[in-house]
Amino acid sequence: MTDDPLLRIDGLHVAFGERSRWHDAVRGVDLRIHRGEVVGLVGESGSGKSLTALAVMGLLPRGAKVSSGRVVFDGIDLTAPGKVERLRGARIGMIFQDPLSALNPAIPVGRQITDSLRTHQRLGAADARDRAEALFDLVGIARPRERLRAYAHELSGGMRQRVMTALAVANDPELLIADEPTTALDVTVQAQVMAMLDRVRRELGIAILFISHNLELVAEVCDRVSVMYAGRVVEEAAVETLFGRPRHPYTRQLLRCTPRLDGETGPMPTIPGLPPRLGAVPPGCPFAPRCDAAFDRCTAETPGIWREGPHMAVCWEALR
Amino acid sequence: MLSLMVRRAGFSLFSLLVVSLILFVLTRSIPESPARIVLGDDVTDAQIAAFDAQYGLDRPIIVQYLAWLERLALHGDLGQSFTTRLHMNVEVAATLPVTLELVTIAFIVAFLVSLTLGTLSAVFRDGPIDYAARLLAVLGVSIPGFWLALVLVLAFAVERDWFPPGGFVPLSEGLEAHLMSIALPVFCLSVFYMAVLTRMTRSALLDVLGQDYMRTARASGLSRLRVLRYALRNALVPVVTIAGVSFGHMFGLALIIERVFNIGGMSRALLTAIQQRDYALVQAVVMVFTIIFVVANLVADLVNAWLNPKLATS
Repeated sequence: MTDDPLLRIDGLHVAFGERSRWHDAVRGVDLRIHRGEVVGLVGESGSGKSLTALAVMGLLPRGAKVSSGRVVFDGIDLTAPGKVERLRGARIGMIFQDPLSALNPAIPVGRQITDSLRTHQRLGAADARDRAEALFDLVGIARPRERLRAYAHELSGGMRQRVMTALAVANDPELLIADEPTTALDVTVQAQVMAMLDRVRRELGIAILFISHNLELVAEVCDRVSVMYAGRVVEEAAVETLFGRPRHPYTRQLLRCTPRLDGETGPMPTIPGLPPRLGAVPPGCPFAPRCDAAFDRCTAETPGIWREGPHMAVCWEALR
Repeated sequence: MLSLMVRRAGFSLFSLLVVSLILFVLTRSIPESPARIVLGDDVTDAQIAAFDAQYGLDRPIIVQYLAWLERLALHGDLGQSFTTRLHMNVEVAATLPVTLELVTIAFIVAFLVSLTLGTLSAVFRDGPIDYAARLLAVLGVSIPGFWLALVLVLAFAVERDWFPPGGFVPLSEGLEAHLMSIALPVFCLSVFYMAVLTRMTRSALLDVLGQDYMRTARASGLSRLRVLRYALRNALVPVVTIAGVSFGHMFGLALIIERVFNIGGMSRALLTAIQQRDYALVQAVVMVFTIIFVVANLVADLVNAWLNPKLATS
C-alpha cells in the first residue's frame, strides 16, 4: 500500500447558476482522506460542506456544477465523465441527513438494499436477502428478517438511520460519506447511531468523511478535522491540535459557541453577523467582517497560508 | 390493506347512496306529471290521477325513493320507462357495452400514451421531446372534442375515405370493420385525457425526481432504468387518482362523441329520456354512470394503496 490518499480533492470549485451567470459556492477546497481514516468537515450551514460531498459523489443538484478542480479516488479522476457512476454505492457509500426523506417511501427498505446489492454483485435473490439480513444485524437492527419488509415510515428515526447506513455500506465501500447523519435525530438516539457508525467503521475498516456542525461529535470520532467557511477550508489539523490549539479565529469562535454543562452560566456566545451571500464574498478574508481578531490587512488582501506540520490555517492573524 | 379496502368500499357505497337520493329528488322536482307527456296534452285530471296511482307517483317522495332503491339494490332493477314501457335493464344492456367499449379503449390508449410521453418529457426535461410533449398537451386540452371529431370526419371520412364517417359496426361483423368504425371516436375521446395525464405524469415525475430518496437511489449506484422505476412507483400516485376521475368523466364526453359519429350507445338512451322527460329513464342512466364513476375512483384508490403503502396507513 502506498502513501497516496484514498480520496484527494484539489482546488474544488462548485458553481451555481445558469448560462453565463455562475457564482462559486465552493471556492477551492483541498482535502485528503487516507484509508481507514475519519476526517471531519465542519462549518456553519451554507459553508459548502454538503456541496463538497455531493460533488465527490457526482450528485450535485440541478443548476450546480464542478467548475474547476479535481477529485481523485484511488487514482481515478471522479470529475471525468462516467467515472463516479461506477463507484457510487460500490466503493463509495453515502449517508444523508434526514433518513425519512432519504429512503423511498413506496419500496420496502430491504428491497432498496437488495437492489443495491444485486446492482453491484452477482447475487441471487435469496443470497441478496441473506446478505441484507446480515447487514441489518451489523447495524444493530433486531429481528432483521421482519424489518426487511418494513417501509421507511414504519420505522423510528434511529432505525431509519441504521437502515440508511446498511444501505450505504452494503457493498463494502472503502469510503463512507456521512452528511450530518445525526442532525435529524433525537439527542438520545444520536449517541446510539454514532456508536453504531463507529462499530461499523471498525468492523469494515472504512474511511469516513464526517460532515457535521456538531463539534462535540467531531471531537469524539474524527482523526483529523477541516473547518470550512464561505466555501473554503480555513483550518485543518489533527483533532487534538484543532481543539487544543486552534489558530483560526473562526475555529476559536466556533468552539466558544459549543454549549457546556460544566461551564459558567449565562447567555450562549454566538458569532455575530452572517456568512457572506453567494456571489457577494468580500475581498480579503471572507470572515474578516465577523472576526474578533481582524486588522487592516484582513479586509484588503486574500489571507496567506500558515503551516506547522499537518496543522494549516488560512489567516493573516495566524501568520503575525 | 384489507381494512383499507373495506373502508374505501364502505365510503363508495355511502357516496352512491347520497348521489342516488339527490338524483331521485332532482328528477322528481320537475313540476309536471309525466302523465301529460305520455298521455298527451288533452288528458283529464282523472286520467292523470289514474296514471300516477298506477306508477305509484301519488305516494310521498320518500316512499317512492325507498321503493326504487330497494328494487335497484336488491334486484338490480333499474325500473321501467313511462313512455316506451321498455324495461330499463334491457335498454342499458343494449347500449352500455358500446359506450363502455369506446371509453375503455380510449382510456387505455390515453393512459399508456400519456405515461410514456410524460415520462420521456420529464427525463429529457427541456429537450426537444419535452417541448413537443408540452405543446401537444396544451393543444390537447384546448381543442374541444366535438370540434375535433367534426374536423376529423371532414378530413378523413368525407374528403378521403380512410374511415367511415359514422355508425357503429359490431365486432360480430368483422374485426377490421369494427376497429375502423371506432378508431376516430376513440381518438377524439382520448385526446383531452391524454393531454391532461401527460402533464400530470410529467410534473409528478419531476417532483419525485427532485426528492431526497431519488438522490439516495443514485448514490446506491442503481442503473438509470431502475432509478426511473423507483421514481415512477411514487409519481404514479397522483396520475392514477386523476386517471380514475378521468375514466368516469370520459362517459360524459362519450355522449357527445357518440352523437357526432352517430353511434348508438348510452347517448341515445339518455337524450331520448331527457327529451321525453322520462325521468325513470334519466334516473337509470345517470345512476349507471354514477356507479361506474364511483367504482373507477375506488379502483384508483386501491391501486394507489398498493403503489404506496404509506397512503394505506394514513
